[in-house]
Amino acid sequence: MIATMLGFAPLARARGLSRRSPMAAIGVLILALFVIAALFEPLLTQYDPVAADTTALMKPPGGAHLFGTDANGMDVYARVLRGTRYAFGIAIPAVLVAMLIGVPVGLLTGYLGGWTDEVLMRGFDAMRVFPSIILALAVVSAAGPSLVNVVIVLGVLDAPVFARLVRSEVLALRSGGFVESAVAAGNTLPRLLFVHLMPNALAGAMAQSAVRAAWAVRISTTLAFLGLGIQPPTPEWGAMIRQGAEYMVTGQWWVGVFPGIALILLSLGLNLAGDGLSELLDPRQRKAG
Amino acid sequence: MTAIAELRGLGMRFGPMAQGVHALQDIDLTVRPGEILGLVGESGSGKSTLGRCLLRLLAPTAGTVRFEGDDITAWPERRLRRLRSAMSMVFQDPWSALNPRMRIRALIEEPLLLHCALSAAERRARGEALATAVRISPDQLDRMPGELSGGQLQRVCIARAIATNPRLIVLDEPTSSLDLSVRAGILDLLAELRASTGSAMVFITHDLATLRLIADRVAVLYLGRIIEEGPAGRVLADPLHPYTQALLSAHLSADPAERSRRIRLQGEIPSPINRPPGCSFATRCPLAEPRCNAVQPPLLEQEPGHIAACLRVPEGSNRLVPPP
Amino acid sequence: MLLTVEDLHTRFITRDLDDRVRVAEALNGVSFGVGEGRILGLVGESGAGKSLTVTSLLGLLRPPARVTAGRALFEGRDLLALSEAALSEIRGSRIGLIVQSPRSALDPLARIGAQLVRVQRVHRRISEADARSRAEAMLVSVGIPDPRRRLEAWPHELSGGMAQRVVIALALINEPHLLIADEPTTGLDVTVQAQILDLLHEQVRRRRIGAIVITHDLGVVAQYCDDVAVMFAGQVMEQGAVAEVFARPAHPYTRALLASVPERLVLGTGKMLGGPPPDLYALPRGCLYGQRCAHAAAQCAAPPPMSATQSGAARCHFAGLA
Ligand SMILES: Nc1ncnc2c1ncn2[C@@H]1O[C@H](COP(=O)(O)OP(=O)(O)OP(=O)(O)O)[C@@H](O)[C@H]1O
Ligand SMILES: Nc1ncnc2c1ncn2[C@@H]1O[C@H](COP(=O)(O)OP(=O)(O)OP(=O)(O)O)[C@@H](O)[C@H]1O
Ligand code: SF4
Ligand SMILES: [Mg+2]
Ligand SMILES: [Mg+2]
Repeated sequence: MIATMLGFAPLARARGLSRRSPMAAIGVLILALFVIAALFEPLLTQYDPVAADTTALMKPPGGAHLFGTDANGMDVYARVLRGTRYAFGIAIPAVLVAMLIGVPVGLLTGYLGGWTDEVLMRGFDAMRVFPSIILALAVVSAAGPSLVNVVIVLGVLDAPVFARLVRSEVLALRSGGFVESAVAAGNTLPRLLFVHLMPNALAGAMAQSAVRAAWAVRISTTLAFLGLGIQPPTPEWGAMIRQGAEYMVTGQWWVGVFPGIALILLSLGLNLAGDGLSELLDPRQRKAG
Repeated sequence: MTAIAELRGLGMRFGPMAQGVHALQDIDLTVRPGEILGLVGESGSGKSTLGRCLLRLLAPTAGTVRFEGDDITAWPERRLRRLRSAMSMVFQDPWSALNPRMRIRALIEEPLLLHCALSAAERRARGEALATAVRISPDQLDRMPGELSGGQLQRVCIARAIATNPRLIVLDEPTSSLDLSVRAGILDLLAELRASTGSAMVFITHDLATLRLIADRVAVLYLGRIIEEGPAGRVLADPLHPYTQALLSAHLSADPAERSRRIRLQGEIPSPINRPPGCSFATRCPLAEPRCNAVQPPLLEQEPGHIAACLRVPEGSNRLVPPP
Repeated sequence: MLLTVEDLHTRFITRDLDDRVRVAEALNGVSFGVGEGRILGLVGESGAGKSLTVTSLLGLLRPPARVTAGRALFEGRDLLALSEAALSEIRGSRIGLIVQSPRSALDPLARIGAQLVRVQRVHRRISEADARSRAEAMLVSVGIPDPRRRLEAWPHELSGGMAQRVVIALALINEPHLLIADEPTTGLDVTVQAQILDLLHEQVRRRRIGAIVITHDLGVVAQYCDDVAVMFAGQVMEQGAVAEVFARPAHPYTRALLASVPERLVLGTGKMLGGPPPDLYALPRGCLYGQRCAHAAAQCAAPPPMSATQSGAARCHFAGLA
């Protein structure tokens, strides 16, 4: 969300973006569509995504049901729209949790160095040895498949990415002058970290936030697909794809394919926008470009 | 009179023991209340490092640092923080010394915010008064550091340093990137500040004319050691050490008609990593004798308060003759 | 003339929160020339636009700054009309630049040696080993002791003066035809300053290249430069041969500048000369120096033209008479 807001709010920037990087502009456009879908879902369809209609089971796309209906007679279009809310509802808090943990850790270890740095960074390295999906699986199956659990697990798993990004920026800044002059002025450690270092070290992390959100969407839908995340009939894309997979063989493709397309599109949008953001926010790339 | 700051046997080495850079060695230096001590020397001789040690922005690897009588050599930063309003520094490079993401106004007000119990309005007023004093105009206050010229940034740094009326200010080449008229104004401001608050200042500069104007005492550094120290009038008028003499002769006159009579130094500046056993100036000194390479010349007092470290001073054969 | 700058205008054009356009008129018709084998000293008030002139010429402006008018002929081409690609080919090979802030000119994440090798290999075909040995030789000629070891140093390990010398080495290593040095010796002690200026002087004379030296040290101008241009509020107020201008300054600002060399100052006299610089967002219509000028008269409400003087040219209504 932070990323998307940054992409939208200063329109002047967006204008510049479309000129400089058309791919990023396409990404922002895709994201905008999804945000509209999430915000104005009730206006975009007349169906309730969780209302079962026994008179219209497994209707193919077309007619009254744009994307068809599923085995419970729920409208797939309405469900895909509602799923957008779940996707954002997981990805944004997950990225926020990851930044909330990762950024302070990166600031502190980067600035202090020494053994704090060693210990924390080694810990993070250890975490990265396991594929994140396996870790997520293990933790969620132990803690129970609730929305909050999924968010926290994704956030914690992703924190090292932000910690590393911030840490490397801080390392480059630490030897530079303004940190020393802030110390000489008598700044406290927290103020030094959050007022002086953070704004200068956050560009990389901000730029990555959209890409990390795409990651969170992917992992959370995978969890749901494996039956470990949010449970049906909640209109979450992963759960819907899982449901749809059963009917694929019998030719009722629409139940699973539409949420799948939505997932791919959102991922694409986030990644494209993320790349554009890095270009905009990373001063080093900007100078070169 | 107790000293404001005192360095005793100070040494600073960067990097690993065996091959580290010996930036400072055996420094004894006293800064008295209300005095302006000029610090000159070869670039890389350790002037900035000395300034940083004085304010304990660096922890020296040998010797002690005292501030108003307290031995602060080993104080942790948390404890030093209370002293930070009493000591301040203007850093050498104004481009990197200011947080690029803070407005000029916030930068100037920061020391006030950290150390003085002022309301936001009072702080704002005081910040604007400081800005006026260093000739930063009001429209520049709402800019970012990237939108000011070098000299303007330097003045912002000076405003920050004098904001809390500190008792000790280290100024690391504060006027080198200022134009002459602004420089004059800043020197005037510093002189006035000293007169009104009695701040002591350590003034690091390469500009000998400025030093002549403002310093009470001068210390000359060469390759991490003090080689001459004394009252400004004496050191600048009658330098004892051959390096100081060469330095003064290299001053460029602003009069194109005046031919410079520079003593050209030949030879290599030894690396601070493996310094020679004897006089560190011996490799370039026109007066060097064989013994200069073997014996470390001691700092001897030649006249009251005027000391120099050259083996040829006691016998009076230390004068270089500038070219005609 | 190696480089001729004519009527250069640069503006900072921004929109404020109310979406009104705000224009800072930073350069207002800068003109000067640099001859082959000559050194031009560019002096003037801090904030007068000396560095900005250089960044404008070399296409290094960053938004919101924009060149709005002017020409800059270098070797028969107008620098201001060249494409970014053509300019970046010229920068660092035909024109060497020594920027004012040594720290930010060095890449903090690369060793000194790597940076010196990189600038050579960007602009010409040269083997890594050759580039390295030239880098070492260059460090010697800018007076850095123990060059082989310093090649391995990181920028933050250098003292201010040493960083400055590395920047000079970076600018000289490709043997440029025009050298632009923005306060090249600020932060160097006078013995090293003399050594570097000697090196620069020798390069200019021997290879017949041109150089622009921006400085606040009138001693540097007096002893090393051939010509001088005095800037104030984005204009060249006076220019001419150094000896002439120093002996007979025609513009009141030049006179004020020459009078405030530290040798001639007395502290504690209260009012130092000067006042605030003109507000770039609302420049006066007449002479830009008018507000501070002791000789300002009724004519000065109209912009003065650049008129010939005994010593060169000056932008003052009374210059011819003085
Ligand atoms: N983004 C901006 N908006 C408005 N004015 C700006 C901006 N950036 C720079 N300026 C102004 O442009 C002017 C020219 O600056 P420049 O760096 O060229 O000065 P200079 O002559 O090199 O000064 P110095 O001797 O201090 O280095 C300055 O007055 C500066 O305040
Ligand atoms: N962080 C550091 N790591 C390693 N070496 C350092 C560090 N800081 C300074 N030095 C070295 O210590 C020596 C003294 O440096 P210092 O910056 O004090 O010199 P200086 O006298 O201020 O010179 P200048 O006039 O050029 O600013 C130099 O050889 C420098 O390379
Ligand atoms: S001790 Fe010897 S080498 Fe050192 S300054 Fe004196 S004469 Fe020169
Ligand atoms: Mg220094
Ligand atoms: Mg400048």
